[in-house]
Amino acid sequence: MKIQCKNLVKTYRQVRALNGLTLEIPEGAIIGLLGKNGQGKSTFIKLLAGVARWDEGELTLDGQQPGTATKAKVSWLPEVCGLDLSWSAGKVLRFWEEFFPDFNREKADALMRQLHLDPGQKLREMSKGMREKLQLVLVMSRDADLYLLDEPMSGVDPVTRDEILDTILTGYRPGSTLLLSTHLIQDVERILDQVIFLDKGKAVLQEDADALRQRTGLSISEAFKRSMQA
Amino acid sequence: MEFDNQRPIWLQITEYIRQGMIAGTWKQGDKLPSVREWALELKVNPNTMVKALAQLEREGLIVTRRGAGKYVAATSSELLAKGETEALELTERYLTQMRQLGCDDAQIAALLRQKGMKA
Amino acid sequence: MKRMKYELIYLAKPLLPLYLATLAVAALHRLPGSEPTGWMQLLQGGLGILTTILGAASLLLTLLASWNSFYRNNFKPEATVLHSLPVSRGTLWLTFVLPGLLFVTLSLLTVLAAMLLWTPNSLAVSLRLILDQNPDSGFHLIELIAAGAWLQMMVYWLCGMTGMALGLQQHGARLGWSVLAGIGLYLVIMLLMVGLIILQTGPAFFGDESALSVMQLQQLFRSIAGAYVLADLVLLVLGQILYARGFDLE
Repeated sequence: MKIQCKNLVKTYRQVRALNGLTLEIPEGAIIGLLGKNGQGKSTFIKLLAGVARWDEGELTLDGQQPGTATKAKVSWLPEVCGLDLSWSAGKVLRFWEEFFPDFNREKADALMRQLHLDPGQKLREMSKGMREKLQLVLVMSRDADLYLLDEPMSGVDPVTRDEILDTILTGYRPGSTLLLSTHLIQDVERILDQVIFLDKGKAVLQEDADALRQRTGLSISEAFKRSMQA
Repeated sequence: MEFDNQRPIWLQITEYIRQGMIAGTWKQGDKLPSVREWALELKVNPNTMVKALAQLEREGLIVTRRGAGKYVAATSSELLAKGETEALELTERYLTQMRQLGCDDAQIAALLRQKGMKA
Repeated sequence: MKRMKYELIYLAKPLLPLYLATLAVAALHRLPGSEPTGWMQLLQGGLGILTTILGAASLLLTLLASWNSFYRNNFKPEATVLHSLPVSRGTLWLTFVLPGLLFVTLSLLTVLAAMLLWTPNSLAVSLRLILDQNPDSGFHLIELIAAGAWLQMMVYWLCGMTGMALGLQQHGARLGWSVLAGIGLYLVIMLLMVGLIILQTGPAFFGDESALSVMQLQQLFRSIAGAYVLADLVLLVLGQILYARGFDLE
């Protein structure tokens, strides 16, 4: 799914979360949306997910504005867990299957096995890490054109982080766009095709990850730190 | 596979595969895993895997057989040997020229580090 | 619309047992007979109180359950699930409103049925006493009162729902704004009703009760009912427009 935005502005109570963001994000790539907390990553993702509305500028997904139609092709992993804790994992999977036409049941079952998650278990009996993994399974089991992962690795231990990375790679649908936002750059950088640095609501860099490494001789996380100091 | 985040990942993958070929993990004529499987095995982005394999194909170490997948080229061991010989010859030439300029080993090493080499 | 199924189940789980309990206790209330003595009289008294409590609870908890479902699914993290579904917001509004409507109506029917089960005779007797002339026009009045009660419950409920739809348009302290909006809407409607009553009854409102005949009472109830219907429709449409307009998930 091709993402295009021009001079995007979003203000929340006097704070400009997005301050003239202009980007063109290509299809078929895993993109890292990198930035410190509060720099607009989550806001941008919410706009793409169609759950918030921008104040100024333009934003299109494959030429369409985010809305009911795009939601059928966009799979969003929010920062919070909105699942009903009284449900079992299996019930949540069935719910996703019922409402999302692109939900792939075989993929979901395979990912559940890979992550050792029990569909019969109730969510309130699961640890936080297990719930994060289940949410990821739900998102990656859809054959979507755009995956939006908002801080998929924060708040979990390093072992779970590895499992999450694996799940992202296993679930990634070649040809689709996967946008991943994080402030934990070091953990994810090796799977990124392209990186976008966000600072104060604007894109300060957009480059192919390996090209950036070649150009600077630095890791993405080091390059990011340097660019923020400048 | 362990990666150095400071160097292009696709390059590291090509090195890894080349070492594997030299070591005999993948011999001439062997069928290679599919892009997807291999990427998952190495825990890398499949797009990066594609890039690495494309490079190796350009070098002639890998061939794609229509409908059958990717294979280690029949001439791979020769190419690898040739590659090694070429690298050796180039290094020889380079060192000769540098010494003719009057540089000693320490200066050569310093210049190389200045240009980004880590050793 | 598939989502509506989940709303119906969510409301049915706590409410249907409550309605049945209310009806059961009301029915039990009849058992000791019409002239009980001793501990049977105490029992009947106790059951009477219990029926009243359950009846009030049926009404109140229906409102709370419906409001809570809307609140949870739009103000809390659960909103991320609801709003990621490829369903238009207009449709989502209906998936909350239609079940809510159903259950508010059911709660009222339960209370009505409980009242009839409780003391069918004394109710008719008391009403005849109030009206002192015409049993026929008395019946008509009961219908108006029942309809009026329904419309009033609707106003409460819709003020809450539309209040929340208004509150969602804000960026912070959404619950606070919603409560204010709901109360505000209710006050506006009540003021308009009082104004309407004053207009209709004229001098009788200010103390001259003898000027009010049964016919005039019926007339008054009818116009109030009409005004309530209008208020309910306005609230419903306003809520739909505001909700469909969209809001930012926080």
